[in-house]
Amino acid sequence: MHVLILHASPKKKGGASRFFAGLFSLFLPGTRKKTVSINSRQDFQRALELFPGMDVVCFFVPLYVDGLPSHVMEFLSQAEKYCKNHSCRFRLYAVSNNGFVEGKQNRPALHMLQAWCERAGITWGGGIGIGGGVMLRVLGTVYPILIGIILLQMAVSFFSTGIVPSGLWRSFAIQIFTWLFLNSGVLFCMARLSSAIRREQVLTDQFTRVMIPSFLFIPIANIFMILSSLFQGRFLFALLKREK
Amino acid sequence: MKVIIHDLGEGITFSAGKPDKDSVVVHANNQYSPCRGCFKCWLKNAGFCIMKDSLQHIGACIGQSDPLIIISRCCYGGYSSPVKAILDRAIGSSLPLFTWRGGQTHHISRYPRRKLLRVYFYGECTKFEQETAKEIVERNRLNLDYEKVEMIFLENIEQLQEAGLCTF
Ligand SMILES: Cc1cc2nc3c(=O)[nH]c(=O)nc-3n(C[C@H](O)[C@H](O)[C@H](O)COP(=O)(O)O)c2cc1C
Repeated sequence: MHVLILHASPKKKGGASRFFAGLFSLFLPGTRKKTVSINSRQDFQRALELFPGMDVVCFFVPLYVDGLPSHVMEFLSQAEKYCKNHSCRFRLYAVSNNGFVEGKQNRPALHMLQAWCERAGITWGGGIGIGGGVMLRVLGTVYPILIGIILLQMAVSFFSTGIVPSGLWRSFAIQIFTWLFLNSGVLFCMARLSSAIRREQVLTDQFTRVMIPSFLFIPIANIFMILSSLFQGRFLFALLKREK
Repeated sequence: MKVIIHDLGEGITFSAGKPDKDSVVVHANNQYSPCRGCFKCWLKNAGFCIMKDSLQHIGACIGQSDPLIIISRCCYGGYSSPVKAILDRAIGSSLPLFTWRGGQTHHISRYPRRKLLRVYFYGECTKFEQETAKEIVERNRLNLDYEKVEMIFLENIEQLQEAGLCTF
């Protein structure tokens, strides 16, 4: 099975869509995968030329202003023409992620891709909407660092004393389980998506989120924004001004 | 300030735009960059974009527009790419801080709440696409912080003229 993984964040580096595409690749062992990004117009042709050889295209998109980003709209209209003029027989699956915590906010983006399929004569396979995409992306960087530090401490302790204290084992397990818990919805939906892909089935759209209640999400996200603006050399409250 | 965003091409006169002097017409002509998703309009600049083109201050423009009128071809149940690029570049109209609105998380508005968002979608559009477009525009209303939304689907641009909105 030939699978094309397309991620469509306009960010050249990093980005939640790329993170989820990387994570989902782990769910597709034994398939022939190709990963391509469409950051901007320059990438469109290269991606389109891969379409005819594919059985499955998995599209990872960010949610922008409640819909698909403008460059994705441009890509889709080129892709519609391309699919009508070439023999493309793939099924399209999609993973849309957004900044807010509710995965359901991605529903219109998934519906737009479904509408595209109808016009382009492609089979829609269904998709996942992931809420709290930025948070999961950040946790996906923070947790490997935390776990790496614990592993390092374990190694140091083992080589200096010959044993690894149980406290270190405990914190290692806690970090792994916390990460798994926060990502459990995403991992579960990805497993369902990969099973639908393998069985050539249509998945009803699934919506999931970072496993944090909204009343905690809002203050945590606000603190993150304040810290990020400090990182840019600004104190957030100086950025609350209005322009005339 | 009335703001009209449209993708109808050059040479259009908006009858609806005539009465007030301070109305602004933004032609979605694609002569600008799409958003790069860097969030610098929130975290480095107070609501304006780091890209120095015609859309650098579009956040302030949209944030103070009442009514905001959007005229776009309906593409797969959403805005056309040139119109969408303008909306994507305008997220500086809200603040990076999160709040709770309409039962879901949203951003706090940088500007006071406005009254009316009106969207005209033209072009051939299936029932499913219309439903999708309705959901998007209702979500836009919440995110952009408007009290009321009006949506009109037109089959072709001639109907805009018939509706007395513009002349070609
Ligand atoms: C221009 C722009 C508009 C956005 N609009 C929304 C939105 O309407 N709802 C939402 O939940 N998140 C919104 N976001 C947040 C993105 O969906 C979120 O940051 C996502 O993780 C980006 O994915 P990426 O890193 O792959 O680009 C927006 C981000 C940008 C830059």
